Amino acid sequence: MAIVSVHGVTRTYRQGEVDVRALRGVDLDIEKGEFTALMGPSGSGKTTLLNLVGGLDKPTSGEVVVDGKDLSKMKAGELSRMRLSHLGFVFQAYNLIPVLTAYENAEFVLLMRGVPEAERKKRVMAMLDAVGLAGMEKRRPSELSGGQQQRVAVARAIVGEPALVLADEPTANLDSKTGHDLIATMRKLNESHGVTFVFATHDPKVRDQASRVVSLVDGEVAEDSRR
Amino acid sequence: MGARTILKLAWRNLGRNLRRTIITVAAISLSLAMLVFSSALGDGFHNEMIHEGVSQSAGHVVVQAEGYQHKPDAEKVVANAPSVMHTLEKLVPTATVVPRIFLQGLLTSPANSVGVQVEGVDAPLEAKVNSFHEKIETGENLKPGDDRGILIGKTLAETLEVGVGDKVVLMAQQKGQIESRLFRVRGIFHTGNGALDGFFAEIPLVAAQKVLGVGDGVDQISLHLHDESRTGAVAAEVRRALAGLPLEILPWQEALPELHQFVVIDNGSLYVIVVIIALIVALGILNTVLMSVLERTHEFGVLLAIGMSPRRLAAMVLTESFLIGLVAVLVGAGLGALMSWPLDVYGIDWSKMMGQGTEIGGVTIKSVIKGDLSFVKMVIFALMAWALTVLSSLYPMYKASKLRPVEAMHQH
Repeated sequence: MAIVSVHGVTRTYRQGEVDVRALRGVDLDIEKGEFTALMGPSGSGKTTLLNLVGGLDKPTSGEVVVDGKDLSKMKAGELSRMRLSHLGFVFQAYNLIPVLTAYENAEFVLLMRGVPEAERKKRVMAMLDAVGLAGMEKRRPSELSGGQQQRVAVARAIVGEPALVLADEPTANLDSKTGHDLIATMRKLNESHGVTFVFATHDPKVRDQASRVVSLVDGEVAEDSRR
Repeated sequence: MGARTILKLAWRNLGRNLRRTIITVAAISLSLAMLVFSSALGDGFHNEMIHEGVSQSAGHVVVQAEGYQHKPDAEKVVANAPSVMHTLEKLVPTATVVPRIFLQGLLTSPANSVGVQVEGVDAPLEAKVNSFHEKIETGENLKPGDDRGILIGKTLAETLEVGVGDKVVLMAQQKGQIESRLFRVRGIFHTGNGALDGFFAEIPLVAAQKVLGVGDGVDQISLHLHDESRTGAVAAEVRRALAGLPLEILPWQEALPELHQFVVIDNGSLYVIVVIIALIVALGILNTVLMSVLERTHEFGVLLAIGMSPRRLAAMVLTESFLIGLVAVLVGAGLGALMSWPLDVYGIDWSKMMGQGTEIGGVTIKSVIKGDLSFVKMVIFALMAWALTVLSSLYPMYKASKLRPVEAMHQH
């Protein structure tokens, strides 16, 4: 069953006097439980596609359906509710909330969802343990390494058990070993929790772990291969 | 996500740029403290003016012959004054009831003659309601039963070349005829006010009644209250009690319109300053909050991306201002009270700046003026400052709520 269905999606930006066609008619279905890597050179449209699937941006034309809901017809408030309840995000620059501890950052999504405190604590502690951060709950982002911060970001993205996790270049700011460990952790979560992952990445390590690789060139799907 | 989480986030966000938060809080606090202090100073000043004005030349409530206020006339007197005073003393037992006569005349000594304002007074009663007798430098106050005594100012005494014990003659008009009466100088006062020291004299009420030939009539019967705020109510009671008599009963605001207008205008100018300060502070807060929103645009984009609703984001920005305002008004009100306390207890001695016996709004004020810190006003100012802080953040809040995640996350 497709958790993501993208049909005839285009996205054109206005950059000064020039129209930039970031996506030129993309059709893509992503099945539940897949570990998908969107690959391609810079400017190929990976991040744009990820943003559309995440409801962070709207297509110029076409349809983006996530978990049965057409995002292109939703208003800002509905989109934020959709992101909160169905999606998890991991960004290149970690993007943790600097005034919150590792525990509080991971807890944040559950807080916004109104999950009771006891349940929150159980899930957050389990998730921090799963990403290898047990004992670091009280540290703020400034007291963590880049790899540790990205693990907190992964914990934050997954703790709410979303239908889909979108990761934009999650290893780009990490050294090779840390990046490798992080991908392995996410792959493990994919297998153990059945979480669907979609990556926008250049990183061969992600490609090596992916169950499916979609290559984008000039805003179009050039290749789509499953393993 | 409940209010508690928003509160926690907002509170911690304030600590991120602590210096800026402290400067913002300090700006609001100091403005509020200065406002509280200015208000205490102004109110103290006005209270003093009202007290002195009321005690020197009227009362909180005055009873006069009908039409006297509009056109004073020696023949417009309160007839049968002892009976009216008795009625008033029974009606308002806590008030001091004081009779007065005002006249103009020519005071003559062997050396000179000077046109003067003369007040016929009951000296013991006057001493209860004003401090004029304390200004007597040489000699003594008028005494009951002495209907030939006169108090004159220091400059007047010098002009007339007289001293305590010397004789002077007062000439005044009585029903178209010139009436003269001999007085003996009992005391010489020095107020520091040129008009009073050079052209004013006090004589016993009985003597004034004889000079004017008004029998037991007086120009004014004034009621001096312990609680100025009861003025309106007492005036109404007196009106009811004296209904039917050809008298006018006026609260001090009507009896001394110049003084009242001065206080109203002075208060008005304070409020203009308040508005100007408020605008400056509001722009400062707007700038600070807007800056703090703009520099966190990227972070707000992330919060929106991970599912925070625009409404909650706006609530967080508003809460930050709410907290800044709360801390600032608590500090500001405390500081204002602390600054005003010595003013209330010890006052400020203005004599070095303005000289002794300065006259403002027709009233000679004391050299040391105490403040009057009003708790109610302080609370109102604090609430206003708080509301202003929160209102100033509405635009930044709106900006935050309208952010689009992708564009916001591109900002660094």
